[in-house]
Amino acid sequence: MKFGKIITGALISALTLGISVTASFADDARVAFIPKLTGVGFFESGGAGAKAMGKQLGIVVKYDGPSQASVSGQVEFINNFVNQGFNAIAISSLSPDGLCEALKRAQDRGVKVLTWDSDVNPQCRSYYINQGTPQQLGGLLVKMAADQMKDPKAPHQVAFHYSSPTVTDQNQWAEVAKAIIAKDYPSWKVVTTVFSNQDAQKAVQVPTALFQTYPDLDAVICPDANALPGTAQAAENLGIAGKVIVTGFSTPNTMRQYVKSGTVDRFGLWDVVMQGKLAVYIANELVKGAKWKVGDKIKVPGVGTVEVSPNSVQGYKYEAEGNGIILLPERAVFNAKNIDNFDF
Amino acid sequence: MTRFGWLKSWEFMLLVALVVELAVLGMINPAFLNVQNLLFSTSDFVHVIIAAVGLTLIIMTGGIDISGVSLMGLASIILGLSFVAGAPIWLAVAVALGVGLLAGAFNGTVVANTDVNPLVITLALLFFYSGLATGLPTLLDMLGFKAYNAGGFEAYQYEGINGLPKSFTWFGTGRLGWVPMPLVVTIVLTLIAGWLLKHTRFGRFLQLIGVNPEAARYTGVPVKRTLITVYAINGFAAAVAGLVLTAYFTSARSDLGSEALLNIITAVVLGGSSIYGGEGSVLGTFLAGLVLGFLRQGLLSLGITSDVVPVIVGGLLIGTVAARIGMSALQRKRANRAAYETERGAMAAIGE
Amino acid sequence: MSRILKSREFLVLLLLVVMILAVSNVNSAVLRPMTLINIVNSSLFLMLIAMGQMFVILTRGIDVSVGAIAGLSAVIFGFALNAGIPLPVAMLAALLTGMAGGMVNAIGVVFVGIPPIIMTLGTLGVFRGLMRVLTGGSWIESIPHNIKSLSVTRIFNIPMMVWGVSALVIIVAILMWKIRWTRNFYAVGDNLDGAYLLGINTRKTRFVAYVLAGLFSGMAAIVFVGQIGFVPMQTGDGQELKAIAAVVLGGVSLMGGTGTVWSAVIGALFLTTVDSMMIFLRIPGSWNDAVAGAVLLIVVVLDYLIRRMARNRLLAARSSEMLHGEDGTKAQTLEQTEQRQ
Repeated sequence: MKFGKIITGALISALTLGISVTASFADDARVAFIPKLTGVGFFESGGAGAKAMGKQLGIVVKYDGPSQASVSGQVEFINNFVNQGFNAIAISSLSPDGLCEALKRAQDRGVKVLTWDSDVNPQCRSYYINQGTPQQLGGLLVKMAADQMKDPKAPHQVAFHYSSPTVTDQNQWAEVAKAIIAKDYPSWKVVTTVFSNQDAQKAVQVPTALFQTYPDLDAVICPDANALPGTAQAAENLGIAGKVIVTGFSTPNTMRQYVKSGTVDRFGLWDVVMQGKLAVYIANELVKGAKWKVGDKIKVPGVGTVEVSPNSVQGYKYEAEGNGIILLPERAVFNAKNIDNFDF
Repeated sequence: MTRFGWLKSWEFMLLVALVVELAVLGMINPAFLNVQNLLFSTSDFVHVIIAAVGLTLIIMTGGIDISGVSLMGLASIILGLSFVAGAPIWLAVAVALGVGLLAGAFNGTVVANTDVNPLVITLALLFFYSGLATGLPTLLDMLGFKAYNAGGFEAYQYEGINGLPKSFTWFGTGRLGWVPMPLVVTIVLTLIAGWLLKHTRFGRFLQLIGVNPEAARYTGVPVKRTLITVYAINGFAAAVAGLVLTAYFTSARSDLGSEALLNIITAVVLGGSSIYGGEGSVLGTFLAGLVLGFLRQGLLSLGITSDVVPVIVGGLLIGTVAARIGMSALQRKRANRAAYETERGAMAAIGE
Repeated sequence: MSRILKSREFLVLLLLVVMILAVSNVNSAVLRPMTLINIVNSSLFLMLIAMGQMFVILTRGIDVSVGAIAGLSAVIFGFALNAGIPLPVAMLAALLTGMAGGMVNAIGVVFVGIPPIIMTLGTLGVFRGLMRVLTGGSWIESIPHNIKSLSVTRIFNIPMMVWGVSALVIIVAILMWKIRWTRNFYAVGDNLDGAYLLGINTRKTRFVAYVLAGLFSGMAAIVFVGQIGFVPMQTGDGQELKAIAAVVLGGVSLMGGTGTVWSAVIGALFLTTVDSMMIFLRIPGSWNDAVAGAVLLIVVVLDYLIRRMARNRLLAARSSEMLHGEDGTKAQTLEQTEQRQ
């Protein structure tokens, strides 16, 4: 059969590309580290950290996920990794509830499940490697904007720009940030929230129209890897760079040029490489049988000491044994002085 | 055609491709051939097949509807919102399916009553329905409805709606014997659509419109009514796909299915439908969907990264169709030669 | 015939102007030259892809891999720039990548005879995967800053890229008008067998169309990198359908044989403008897509109604024998169906 041959040929060539599915040692951890989607600088960096820790510990770590952000894609990867015999999964979830069934099935088959970057309902995982609670990150967004204002208490116009109204974590941060603004800076006015759907072109076009619609805009807050450089570029295109505050979350490598040119004074993120390392370390310990209670301190080589916090820090009501949140020690704010110390 | 003519049909080729594919993948990685896992893994991609089956009927008419992917999310969120608003689950399902049906009928109405290309119309509607799905929760907030959670309905936009009753989620997570429910739903829909296409007047109308809309009109085919009906069926199928996903994930979200568009179109065209209309097979689409879905699953189970998978899938898509073309060319050549030989024989006989 | 078709593009342009004027009632900032220039600037990427797509659709083909070709070209362009290769050479590399991608499609469609939609759906996956394999999935960042000079430099307040693409559009329009050979695209799309019998090299014509689609996608990649300054792996995602919609909106028939370069230009402008208008209308972000979709739908239906009105008037003025002509696209279907079989 002709296409039979084609199929065989293609598969063999694919296999020679250097993939091995062979022999796993029963006791060793095999960790699947799943991003929201592949092909995004932020997640690739997390994956690099995860793999580095895997090497350090001498265990198998696989970084892979859907190429488009979709819940069904993530479920497909979870099921597939479980079938392949991975015994630990660390995932950055696209949906708090949508992955639960798949993750529970994984747990039923003895797979350790933890989340990183973006959480699921705590019933469906053991620990969440958290970069910061919505309170911390939403607060950081507001602080980065306020600190750049001459008089933060004076009236200011602020806009939000991120990927889409359906993405969980960015919306949570923005909601908290808006609440903090309403409480601490009642004179500010949040004029609008715009979205660019992870489209780099739209991420420039949308803020361009935004700046022209609201000529008195003082600050744009962009907690999204595409939205922040896009907004900075729009400000440069319109010649208002430096006159308007552009801040948010993105990776240092993407933002370096805008920080150097002074368009962006400062922006934040956390050390996602470290987050990847931490997730894999914890996964490995879990497979080896470790169990931590709230308040336990864990020493992680190359990362530092972290503490297990209760789920309530993220606003959950569910608490259980072997379940909690592990917060990254710190969140970074990058500016012209320190940005060259980071490469991710 | 002989009694074994079906052996040359494209559907049979796809069936062979499916078997070969499973055999080859199983040879490389025997663990892949675990029947239970294999059956269960269909749940990850049957929504593509369900939507593709609906689309096949439209493609028969020479039209297209790309807004189905947005209707999946719309149906899902409408189900969720109806449910949290207090409707019993059967009513919520009915409302969601009804919205899919009506939205599809609306698409069909616009397509049937203008000469604007269906691709453009349904691109506009793709945006419209997905925008509606994301906007609906805030609309409820604006209208002053009270949600049970703290963030208002708006939070459902990004958190999704969970807590759906077991009687509903069973359609996504349950199974009949060994066969998971999503696959059961898919097979039932495929059978219905196949029957519609092959054995009803409606099916013949679809093909006639695809071959020649003018001639169809002159021969008394109710073109408008047929078009509206077929787009409505597609909308319904998309809504079913959305609800199956919702049940499978046990969570209603407005963005479910949004990434499936190219996979759906691929399943339809690999199934043997011509995008210029008049040619198409529901069974072909179903089999093509399985071929593509299992291929993806199989490649992933071999540990091939998601970066390489589309390269192989794309290459195989081209290769399979090229092989089909090559084979039919060969057949033609053989038939020509046979005809030539018989003719020469006949001539020689006359000569004697 | 051609006069009616010309008015099709003109009509869409008119509707575009009406839409902008309507929005200016809510927000007069729309009418500032700077705003309009920026919208044009944002539309360049889509416009170039749509122009390439137009050639393919003229020949009654379709190319859904254009977005992926643009992405792949952008990756090669980014690599070349990061390797310190001079800008003109890097640009050439991007264009060649685009052409090579188009050529792969052309070989499959023209010489092997694979239906265009299947061939290009296949290469869509191949090119997208290749892009990620080449980069290992990471974005290409830290591209030398001077690449931005292409987009930031303004002559008479208009970005250099807008000048460049405008010049290109005019050149293509003149070539399409003056050079007889370009009519082969129309002939092949209108009636493949007829064109063949007329002595047109149909294979060459279709081959060239796909290569041109690739070439224009390569140009789009240069615009993208110039404007954005880094290459995300999502570059060009979903642009294929937008490009097809843009040319069809502008008056190119998917059945082949009709349309001009202006269709692509105006269609791309239209789709881009709709996006910006949502912000100018101060519509809450979560409603953007719904309103944009509704506007687009209203416009295409309006376009149809106006054309129908014009046609009815024309028909009323003529004798009743002419009634059965209806419009061009549908009358052609018969012979095209025969042709396919």
